[in-house]
Amino acid sequence: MAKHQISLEELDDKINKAKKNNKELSKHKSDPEDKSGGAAAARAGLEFFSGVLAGSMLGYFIDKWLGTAPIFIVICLLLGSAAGMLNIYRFMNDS
Amino acid sequence: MATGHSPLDQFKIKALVPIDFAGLDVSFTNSSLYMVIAVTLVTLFFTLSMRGRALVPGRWQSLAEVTYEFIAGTLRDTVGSEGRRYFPFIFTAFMFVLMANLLGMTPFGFTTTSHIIVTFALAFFIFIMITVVSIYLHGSRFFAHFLPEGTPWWLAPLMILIEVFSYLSRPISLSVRLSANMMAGHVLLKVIAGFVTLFITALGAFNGTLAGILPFAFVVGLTGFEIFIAILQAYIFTVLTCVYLNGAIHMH
Repeated sequence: MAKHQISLEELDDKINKAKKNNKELSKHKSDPEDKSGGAAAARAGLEFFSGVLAGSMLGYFIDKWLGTAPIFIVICLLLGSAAGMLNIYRFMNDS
Repeated sequence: MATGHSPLDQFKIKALVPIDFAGLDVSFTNSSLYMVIAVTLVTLFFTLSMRGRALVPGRWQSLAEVTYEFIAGTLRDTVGSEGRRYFPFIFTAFMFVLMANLLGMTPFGFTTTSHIIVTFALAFFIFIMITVVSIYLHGSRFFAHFLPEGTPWWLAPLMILIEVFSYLSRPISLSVRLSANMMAGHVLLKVIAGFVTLFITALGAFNGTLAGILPFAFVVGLTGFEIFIAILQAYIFTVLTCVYLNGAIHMH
């Protein structure tokens, strides 16, 4: 009878370990969009477009503030498109 | 009733109660009205359905509990137990976006979330909140996040700039996704529904009605699909907010 009785501390240990495993498994759960097919393509297009839009908006406002006509729009547009591509790379690699 | 014939007329803002505050136009518009209706419906839904507080829930209480548990579970899965303190905010955002999307699917309903300024206001404040949380929790290590590990020194300045732009593009992608989905869906609905009357005017009463059955059936299916998209886009908005929140709390 004593052999099959597991002590309360061992049970506690097992529960904590199982909880930790559960937490680590659920942390790796990625967002709901499938990484293959139309949803991923839509996400990729959206990420790239958002990067370009964010960059050009920021460049436009910096240009308005500094008065340097198209320089910052061009620079920030290029940086924004690079950032968009980085976003696509990041979320594609997450699967 | 509006006499517009363009499928984009449904998105027109009409000032119901014109209010002018020191030169600024802060009228109560149809967009504001539908936001008030959305908030009222969500509040009524949760307070009335939970009034009984039955141990074995009836239909309405069960619906409220399922919605609560759904978002609580999503928050727990993406952020973990530290995310519980953000649950009221996440839940409010989800229910507001969901109800606003669904109200747009009602007959003659106005879709508040189809305007980029509405979704951008939501996404902007979420972005500010997540940045503030990140700075509060991690201090100056938040800025160290913009230089990924292992970048060579000659690439570092460019990499920092690109990382900053990548971070700034998050509210844009969050807002554009929601508003573009809503606007595209509703424009499609109106355009294809317009084909029914177009066929009748082009082909005459009998032939037109016969030919109009096809776009009509398509609109019926598309309406169901749009309701699904409304719910799905609200969910995606919330999940991505939770993912960004997780990045702010944990990944640094």
